[in-house]
Amino acid sequence: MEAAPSPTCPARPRRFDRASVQRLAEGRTDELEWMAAIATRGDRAAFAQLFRRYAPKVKAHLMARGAATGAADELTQEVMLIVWRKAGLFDASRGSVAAWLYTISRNALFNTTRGERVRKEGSAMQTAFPEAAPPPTSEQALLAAEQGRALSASLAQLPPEQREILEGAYWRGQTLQECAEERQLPLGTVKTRVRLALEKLRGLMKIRSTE
Amino acid sequence: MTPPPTGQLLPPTHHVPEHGLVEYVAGAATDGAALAFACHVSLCGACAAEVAALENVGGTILEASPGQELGPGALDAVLARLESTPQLTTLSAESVAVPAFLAGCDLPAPLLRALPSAEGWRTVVPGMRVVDLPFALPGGAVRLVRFKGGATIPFHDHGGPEYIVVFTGALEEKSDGQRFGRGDVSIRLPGERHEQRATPGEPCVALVVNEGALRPLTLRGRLLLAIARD
Repeated sequence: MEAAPSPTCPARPRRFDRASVQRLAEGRTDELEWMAAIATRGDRAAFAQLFRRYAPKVKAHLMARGAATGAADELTQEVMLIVWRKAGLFDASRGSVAAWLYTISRNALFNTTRGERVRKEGSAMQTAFPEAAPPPTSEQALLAAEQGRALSASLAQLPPEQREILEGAYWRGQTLQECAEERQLPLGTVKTRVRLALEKLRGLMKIRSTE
Repeated sequence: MTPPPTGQLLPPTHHVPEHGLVEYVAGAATDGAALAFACHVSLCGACAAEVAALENVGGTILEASPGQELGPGALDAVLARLESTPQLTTLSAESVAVPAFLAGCDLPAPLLRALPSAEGWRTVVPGMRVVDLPFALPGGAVRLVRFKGGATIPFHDHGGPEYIVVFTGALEEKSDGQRFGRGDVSIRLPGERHEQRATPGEPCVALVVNEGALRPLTLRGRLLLAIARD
C-alpha cells in the first residue's frame, strides 16, 4: 500500500469550496464519466478505460484471497462483465467506483469457492448496491470523490499495526480472529486496532452524512 | 427521546457491532452471520450508512493496490463478450412466494432471497413453526421461525454463535427484560446463557442462526429439543 500521503489534505474536511473539490476530485471524475458512458450508451471505449485502470487491481484482490493466477484472470473478466451489466445500477452518491468494484470482486470469489471454504458460503448474497438509485448530482459525485481522496491519504497515514489489520480483513478476507492468530495477538487487541483505525477514518468515510 | 408518530416503527436499537460490520464488508463473516447482518442492515439506516462507509475503505484499499498484470488478450476477450452481455437498467422485482401467514411481515430482501419456497414449514414444538433456509451449517441451523405470542425458549446455552434478527413482533430476554423488535439483532456467544419469550399477544417472526447446537439447560428444554429433532 504505497498511496502517497498528502500533507495538504485536511484531516476532517467539513466544508468544500467548489474549486478545491474540483481539483482534488479530478482523478476520480474521469471514472464517473466512464461509468455514465457505459450505463447510458454502452460505451466500449469508456469500458476499456475502466478495465485498464481496475482489472489489474481486481486481479490482485482475487489473488490475495487465494485465487491462482489463471483462475484470477478468468474471474477478473467475469467481474468486469458484471460491471458492464450493472453499470446502470451504480450509485455514485453511495460510494466510489473502486468501492463498487471492491464489493463485486469480493462477491465473485464466494461464487466459485463453494465447498473449499464452506464456512464462508452464502456471503455471496451480500449485494453492496442492491437497489437502483437516482443518479447523483454532479455536486454529490464531486463531494464523494473528494472524500475518497481524503480517505486514501488518511489510510496511508494510519500506524502500520492498524493498517495491516484492515488489510488482512479487507484484502485477504480474514476474520478478526484469523488476523489475531496470524499475528499472535489477543482478539481484543485486534478489535481495538480496528476501532482506532476506523475512528481516524470515520470523519472521512461517511459519503452520505445525515443531511 | 421523543416518541415516534403513531404507526411509525422505531428504528432498531440493537445493532451489529462495528467489528461485525467490518467482517461483513470484508467478506469474512460466516454465511449465517452474513445473512443476519444483511437483514439487519436492510432494516437499519444507521448500519446501512456504516456499511457504505466501510465499503469505501475497501475501495480505497483496492485503489492503493499496485495490481497484477493480466494475461495478454484479457481486455480483447472481455470486449468480445460485451455484445452478448445485456445491460441491466433496474433489478427485476423479486417475486417470492411467501406463505399466507407471513404476508404483512414485510420481510427484507436478503431474507426473501434465501427463502426456499412456500413449502417446508413445519411445527417443531407447540407454538413454534420453522422453515430451514438452505445453508450448509454442520451441527447448526439457519431458520426462519414463527413464535406464537408468549411462546418461551427455555434457558439454554449455545454450541456456537447465535444471531437472531426480528422481523415482526418482539422477543424478550427473561433475565433483564431487554426487548428485541423489528430489525433488532441479538448476538449470543457460547457461554452466554439465556431464556427468551415472544412478547405475548402477537406472533414473532425472526431469523434464527445457530452456528452450533443449542444446549438446553432445563428438563423442559431438553424434552422440547428431543421433540424438535424428530
